[in-house]
Amino acid sequence: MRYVIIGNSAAGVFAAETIRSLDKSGRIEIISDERYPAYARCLTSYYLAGQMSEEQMMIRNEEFYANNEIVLNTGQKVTGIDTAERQVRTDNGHIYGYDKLLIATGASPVMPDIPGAEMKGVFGLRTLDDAKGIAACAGQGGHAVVMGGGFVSLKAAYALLKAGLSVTCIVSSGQILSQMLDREAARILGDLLISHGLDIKFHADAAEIAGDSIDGEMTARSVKLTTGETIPADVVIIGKGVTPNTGFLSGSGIAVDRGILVNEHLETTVPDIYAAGDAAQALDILTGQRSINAIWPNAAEQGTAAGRNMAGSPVVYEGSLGMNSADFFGLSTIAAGNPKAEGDEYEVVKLFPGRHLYRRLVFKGDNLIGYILVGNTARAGILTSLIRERVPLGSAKNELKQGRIGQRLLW
Amino acid sequence: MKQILVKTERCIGCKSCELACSTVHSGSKDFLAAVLKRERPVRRVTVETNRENTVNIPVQCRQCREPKCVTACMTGAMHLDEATGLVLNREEKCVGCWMCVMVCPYGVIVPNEEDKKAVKCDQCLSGGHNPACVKACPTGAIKFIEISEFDKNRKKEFLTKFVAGEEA
Repeated sequence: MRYVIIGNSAAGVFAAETIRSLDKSGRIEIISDERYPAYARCLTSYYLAGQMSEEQMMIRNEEFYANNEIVLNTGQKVTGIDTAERQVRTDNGHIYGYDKLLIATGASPVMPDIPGAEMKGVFGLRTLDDAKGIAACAGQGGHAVVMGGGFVSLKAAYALLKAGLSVTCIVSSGQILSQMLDREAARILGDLLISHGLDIKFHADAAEIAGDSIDGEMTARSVKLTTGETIPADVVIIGKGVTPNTGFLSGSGIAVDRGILVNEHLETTVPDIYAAGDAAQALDILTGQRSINAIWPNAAEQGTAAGRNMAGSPVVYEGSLGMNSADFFGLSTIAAGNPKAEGDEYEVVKLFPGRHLYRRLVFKGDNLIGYILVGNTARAGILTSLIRERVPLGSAKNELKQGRIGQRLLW
Repeated sequence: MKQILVKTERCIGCKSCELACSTVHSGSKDFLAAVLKRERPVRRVTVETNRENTVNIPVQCRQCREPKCVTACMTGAMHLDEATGLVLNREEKCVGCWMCVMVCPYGVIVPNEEDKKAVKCDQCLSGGHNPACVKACPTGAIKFIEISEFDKNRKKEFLTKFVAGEEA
């Protein structure tokens, strides 16, 4: 059996591991457009903050590929799939034949369509190379402008603050982390970040990135805002969301909506071709619709499930759940499910048990469907499992409404 | 592998297991010394009691066979150790992102905020694989019992008994 996996991050690596555990003799090849062994993308901000070396970012040890007889082909980008011939083509002319194929190509930052966005010194924060580029542009005492108020943006801003830069964050809405948090939670986190020196411009957008020619290359120097203000910038980081890497699939016959559409076995519309991770549009547990919850845990689970199906040990993927965890200056925040749901059909409970503490619980009928915990997030997983497994709460609902999170075993 | 199981009807909620766990995982290996040195030891087991005060259960990591904490871990720190069948955290790789805390259905991974490390039960593997909570339990409610590594059903049965508090 020939297995080919496009992508060498969470979904790809977990799939390869799973396949190898089930099929000791099949040939497993991973194709990556990067030049590194598998590393944790989510750790790029730790690298920026100087908290972590490149070696520490690797998610598997050096012997991983050899020990598992996985062939890693780096530095090449897949340009197309011939589903009839069962072949994958790459930009350096290689052709890989497959019996089972996994597309785990992930996503890329969406770059804004404004003048100057192509300049040197403007980065997304996705890859290790992005992080290296950012670190090379701006050191201690420098000024960074971060566009966007989402998770990636704030992690980048936090890292650069820790690295001793002055950081301005440009947020088009009136609230940070607006996808993950409600106003109350966002205010606690925002105030904390501001008290540690982060400059946040709300209701503002970048209109233009201006630069100078340095060694013949236009290099970002400042960001002009829609409000008319100009902010100096040694480096500009774009955190305006990501888009799945699916461009190479056009004409392949594999159906793509926002991401690659997959069924309950994570198989695409073409047999023997699977997709997992940030590129795949798979079942969402809460909505029952196919959507993309682009976070590491979902990618790793999808990779594992896809790997099983590819290796002939069928399993139904239970679905993904929107969730995230952030820790800024020691204040932990976890949100999961649909924590911002509002309306008559939902029951929302907000608790403020102390300074820098906040709990928001969202119920629909007898089920918990979302939560936000700010501060003291131990046991958050119990709430997550209540959402994931749609556990009927019964009398435990009142316990939860008072902020008590206990073992289900004791109900 | 061996599993820590509980006869809930024997647990009186004395929390001796919590104390023993904190102590054995402290630098000083002595509770008073650890406190005096301001070590603030972290326990990996919590005794929980129901609302009616009729059932107590010491809860620690259930060593899941398909651990959510492992797939959630973005650093490769949390892993299923093949040799022992235990879910273990390589603390040198852990960055304290609390993804594992977010997904553990038993809520038994402790976020150690001071060290920024996720802390969990390793069945006292480092101390000779002889769990301190089992040794410390004065009523014999906590047992350390061999169960077949490969027999998932048998393990499931034990876990159900753990829930129901039946004889293991």
